[in-house]
Amino acid sequence: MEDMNILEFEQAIAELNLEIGKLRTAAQRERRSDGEVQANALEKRRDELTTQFFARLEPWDEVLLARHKDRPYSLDYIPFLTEDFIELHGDRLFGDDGALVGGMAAMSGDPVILIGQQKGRDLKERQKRNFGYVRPEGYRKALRLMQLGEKFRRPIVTLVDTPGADPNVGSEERGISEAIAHNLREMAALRTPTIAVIIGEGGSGGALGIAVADRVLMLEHSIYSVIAPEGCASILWRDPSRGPDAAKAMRITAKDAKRLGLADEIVTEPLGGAHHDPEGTAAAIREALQRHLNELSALSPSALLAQRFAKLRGFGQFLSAPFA
Amino acid sequence: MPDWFRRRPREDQDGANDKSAPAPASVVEAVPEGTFTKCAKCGAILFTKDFERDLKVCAKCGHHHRLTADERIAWTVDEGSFVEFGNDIAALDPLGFPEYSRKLELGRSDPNGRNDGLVTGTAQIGGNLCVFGVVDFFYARLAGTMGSVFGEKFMRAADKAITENLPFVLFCASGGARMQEGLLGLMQMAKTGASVAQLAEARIPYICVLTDPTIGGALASYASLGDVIYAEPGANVALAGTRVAQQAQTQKPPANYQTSEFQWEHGFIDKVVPRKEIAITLSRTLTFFAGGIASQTETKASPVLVTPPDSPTAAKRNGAEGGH
Ligand SMILES: [Zn+2]
Repeated sequence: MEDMNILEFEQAIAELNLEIGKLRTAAQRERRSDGEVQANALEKRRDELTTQFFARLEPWDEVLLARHKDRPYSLDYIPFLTEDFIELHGDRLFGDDGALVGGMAAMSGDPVILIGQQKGRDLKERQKRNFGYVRPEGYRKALRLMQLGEKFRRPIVTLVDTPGADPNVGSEERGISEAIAHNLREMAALRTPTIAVIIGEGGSGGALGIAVADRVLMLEHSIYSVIAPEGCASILWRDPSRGPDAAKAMRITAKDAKRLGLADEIVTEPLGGAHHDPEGTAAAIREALQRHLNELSALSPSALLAQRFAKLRGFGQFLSAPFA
Repeated sequence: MPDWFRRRPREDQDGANDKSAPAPASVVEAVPEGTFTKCAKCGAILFTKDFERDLKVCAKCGHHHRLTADERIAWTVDEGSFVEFGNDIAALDPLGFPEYSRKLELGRSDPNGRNDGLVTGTAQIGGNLCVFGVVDFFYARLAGTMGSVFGEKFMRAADKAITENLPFVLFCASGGARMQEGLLGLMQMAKTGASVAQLAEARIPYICVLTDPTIGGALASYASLGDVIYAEPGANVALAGTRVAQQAQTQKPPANYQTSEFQWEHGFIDKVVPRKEIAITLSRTLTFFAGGIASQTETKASPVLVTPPDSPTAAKRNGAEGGH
């Protein structure tokens, strides 16, 4: 199983599970205990293999996990993260973007603004959600909701999961770049606590457009990247199929982001990834969110902003004179 | 009488620029030692002497060729007024990214001792003192991308504008965030965005001039945030690179797609300004803002930092805490 990627590994495990199931059924039907013993042994072996495999994930596996078709999306988590979510629609300027959802909610009784990028699961919903590519209306809706939060001093939580900002004609016409840039400036100065959680794909500026925050958390198998690995590979080597090499070179995993000081905390996922236990993953996110919100809520708006600006101004690594 | 009117690039000055700066890609196939220059767009053969006199704008088709930082400075600001700062930091290769150290090596052999494509300093335009930044697209073959040094220099230039109460004029030319620095590159969008928030808070005029190309993360951050945004004719101004855009299109793009004119048509650029008019346009713009700055000064409590009382910097200085 050494050379498999995560999807191939999952396939192998699925076949193993089928085998285990067959053994169990046969054992029950024929009332034989050795079949049961065999099944148990196989299950043990399966769990060992999974643990081993997940201990040695390649960056490309993290990409595949972050984009996994069964991975929970924002709307899968929201019911477990909050109570009384009321989705609010529209940017009050042009339209409503399905790739970005947001609204009012309560977290253990405390009101919060919740915003999330949203992909779709079946073809119809994927189209409705524009495959998670956020349009200008999405960023402007997000900003409107953030400003609502600021006005009434409600903390803001964003869930980040997008391959990127929408690059189509309509989005260029309606100022996709301006929409993101505007958000970057405004989020820096929001006078209310903000937390961004990267839950899946943190796709470049499209992700950052809702992810400038006091705290940035990353799910264990999420990625955060300056450009899609395939895009990087086609620029560097004129070969998009070298995405796995680019994924390695760009350091896009949660661990990398933490090491670079750009993620504040990694939220652990259940073995096998978030899709094996969405509710459990949500509980872990919620625990982390509440802990950080408690810390941030204790700060005055001025102290909060001072901390946030210090953080944002500190982004980067360079040498200062005198040089050795 | 402002002296921008008299100021024209001198031959000897241009010669010096040619020696010190990497040759723009457009100057190729010139017959005997640079007597002629071929227009990169229409292919017209032009006398290099005339071409330089025309500020590298093709006399036949009006194509604005890309400029080095030194050419831009020579042809925009009052002669001899540019005083450079910001070269006291140096780039690192924080990810050990393939080929990046070679590019940085190229940068270290820069004849002007510059540390990045972003060149920062103070200058006068038509007698108006300002903080002046210009991105050299050619520097170290890094396409004006934003890495850690870029972000830090941008921020320090903005800080200088704030502390010295000067407007900030920036000529943009960039391929976006620097993928060789991974997430650190992406975060320069957040950093410059935060920096512009501080400029805004201090009511320092920030004027952008978009030149070819201003794309990706550059347009989706600092380049879209000017109080006034000018652009050179025909510049590539877009979120997505042309190649990416072509792959993604579901709708046929217009002929001027992703150009200055397209962005202007859709309301994201204030004015498309031909190169020979940019100095006078900037001079007039700075004159407009100059009065405003002077009258603000009178009401300022502290002459040291131009920040409202509960801005992050002020909070740090005074230990002031705003209430909830
Ligand atoms: Zn021409």
